[in-house]
Amino acid sequence: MRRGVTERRRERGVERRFDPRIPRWRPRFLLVVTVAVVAVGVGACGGGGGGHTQPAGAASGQGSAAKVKLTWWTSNNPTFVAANKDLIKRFEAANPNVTIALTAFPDDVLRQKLQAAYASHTVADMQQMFGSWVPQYARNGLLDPVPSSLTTDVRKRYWGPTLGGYTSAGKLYGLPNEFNLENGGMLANPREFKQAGIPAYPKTWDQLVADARKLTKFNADGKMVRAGFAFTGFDSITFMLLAMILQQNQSYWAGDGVHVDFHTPAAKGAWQALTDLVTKDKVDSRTAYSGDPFDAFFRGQAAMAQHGPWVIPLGKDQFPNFKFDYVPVPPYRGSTYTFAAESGWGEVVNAAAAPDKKAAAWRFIAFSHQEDNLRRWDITTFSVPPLRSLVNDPQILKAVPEMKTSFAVLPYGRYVGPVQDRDRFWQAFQDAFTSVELGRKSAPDALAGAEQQINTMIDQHAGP
Amino acid sequence: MNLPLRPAPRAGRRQRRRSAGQRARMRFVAIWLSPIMALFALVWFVPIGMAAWLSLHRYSPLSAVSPFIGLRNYVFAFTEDPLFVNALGNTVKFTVVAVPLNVAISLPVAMGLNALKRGGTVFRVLFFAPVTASLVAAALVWVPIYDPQAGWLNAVTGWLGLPQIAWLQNPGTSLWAVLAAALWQDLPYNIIIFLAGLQSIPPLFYDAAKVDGATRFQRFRHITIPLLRRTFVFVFVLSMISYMQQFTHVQVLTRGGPLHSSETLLPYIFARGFNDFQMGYASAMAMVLFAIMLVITVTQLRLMRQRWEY
Repeated sequence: MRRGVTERRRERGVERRFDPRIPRWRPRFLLVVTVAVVAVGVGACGGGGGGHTQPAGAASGQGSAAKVKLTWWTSNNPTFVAANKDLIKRFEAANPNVTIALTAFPDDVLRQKLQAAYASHTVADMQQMFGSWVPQYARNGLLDPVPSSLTTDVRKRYWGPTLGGYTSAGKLYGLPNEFNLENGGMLANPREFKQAGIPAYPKTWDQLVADARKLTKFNADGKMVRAGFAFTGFDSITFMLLAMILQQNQSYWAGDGVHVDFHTPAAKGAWQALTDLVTKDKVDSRTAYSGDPFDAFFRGQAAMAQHGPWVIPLGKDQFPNFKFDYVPVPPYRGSTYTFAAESGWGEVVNAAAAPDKKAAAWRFIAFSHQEDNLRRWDITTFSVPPLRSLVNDPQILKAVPEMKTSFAVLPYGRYVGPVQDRDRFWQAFQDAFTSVELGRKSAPDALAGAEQQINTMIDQHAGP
Repeated sequence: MNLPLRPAPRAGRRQRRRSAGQRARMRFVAIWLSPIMALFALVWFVPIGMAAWLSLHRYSPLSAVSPFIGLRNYVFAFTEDPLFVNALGNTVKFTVVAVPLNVAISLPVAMGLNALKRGGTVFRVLFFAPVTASLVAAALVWVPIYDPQAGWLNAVTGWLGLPQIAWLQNPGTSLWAVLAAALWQDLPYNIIIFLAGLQSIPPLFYDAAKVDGATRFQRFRHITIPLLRRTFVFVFVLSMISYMQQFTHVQVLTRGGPLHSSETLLPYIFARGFNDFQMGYASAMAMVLFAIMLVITVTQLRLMRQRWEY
């Protein structure tokens, strides 16, 4: 094939550059330059992290009332960001020598960034963490224990489940901003109840099942087009099961307090009742809709949907014309809705931060956990307050009337316990439930399988 | 039919003596490639080496101690972790089906585009559009399509009198539903690659074949396929690597469910490493995936090696 003129010229040029008569210093010079460039590049890469991190114990502006600049990583939930910025503004006004630089991340990004940043010692001085994430960090000595000035009466002031995740070996490693509540309340569509001729929301478990059956609709092919009681979301299945066991005054933890035990009659009965809702009562189906139960509810594909109160602002925001109520879920057994809860969002401090920064961080946390400030934060973020003193708070109820349902169950909450990997714990029940619904396993076999999976996960959590 | 093909010069086993000019040229090449090779080593070989080293430890980034445990992570993966074996099986199934399907669809489309006399550019742009979309956004497009109640796909199957299926919620269909979504986004890339390959085949071969009385199929079988061999290698290797590393569509559409039926290896590795803090174990699984891909890639390159050029 005939080659072009340009190509031939280019080749000639290359030949000329490699002519042996040309002095050798050029390549050597290039080699030196190249090595220098690479060395500088590598040095810069290696130095980046180090330059970013302040060695533990190094105080900025030590020895004077110098300004302290704190860094704070938080969730980028818009309501959280608004509430956090409001706190910063008021704290900085009252403490002119402290400035706080807030950086917000999506929750999943924050979770991974924290892991990488703690490992590389480039983490912020103070972070907003979800309670279930805290034990890993606390166990490995990465978090600063809460100073004694803040722990006085802390167990009396805060609801127990809110502190469980922040406690490791008897020490407290952070303070919660909220009571993370997934239980005790459900979305209900008043129009559907009226159309079905149901005069009031259910007060007992049997009424709940009966109402749900009336409210469930199928098309001519027998396919479910509206769930009576949607609860087959990732969170709801496990939370409901644990609550149903606790409502029988039984525990799902084995005697050692480390492993789980779902072989008790209470666990077996609760599991059977829960799976019966889809296999016998047919009031929900995992294949009836896509997304979470609250998605189905607001799309009109469910008449009731079990969820924590955090879905209320979502519904009001995205479906402003949708009329709904948030009402109590009747207990499975007994008269009170006993339930298990994880610890929610709260503040922790990097143990390796400089002493003056740690002191300033705890000062800020103390400020943000004053009753008035927590009330304000919880109203802005639509969170359930972690302080016992704020239950049935008139200001909160005025701003968020639906919170009344959640307030009523708070005294019956218990910390969920050392679940280790929360996602795998919940996934085990999701899988077990699905296999029962699809007829692949019997309810008892699926429960036994979930127990085995969870105990294996607990044993091997730190690696095989 | 005689094609004007000539064998490529084969490199002799004996080292030929290089002239001074050639040596200087090689030195020049070595010097100018060293920065990029150093960078390549830094961002590629070093992390792989580190992953291999981590895979031999019980390593959590949050823990101060990382005991050396030899091959226990690997043994555990294959003997005691059914979810790893399941994810590996799903990955293999996904790849084995997706790669040939991709080629079987993209090649005819590319040939159609190549044959277009007018409007080829418009069609190329239209076909390439899905590739330019963000992976997550493109995957989300399929959520309403697969919706069990109001999904477009069920509307079509209903119209045809076929049963309504919860595509993403059914363990029997979830992996294939994810595969279809991934395929939809990947096809255009290979269409363009094949199109480039087809356009590089000199028309004189086809003209000569026509004169010799070759049918359309014979021209495809004896000219197009052999002369696209290099393109095939490229497409097979890249598609295989891409599907073995399937992540986004699984995460967006099913998160591996239901019952792990659509869980491929990468999402599982990610979950164990970044959610469960078992970075040593995640590294071991990543090394297994790396080894499998390396073996398949080298095998493909060897099997499809071309010893002639045109």
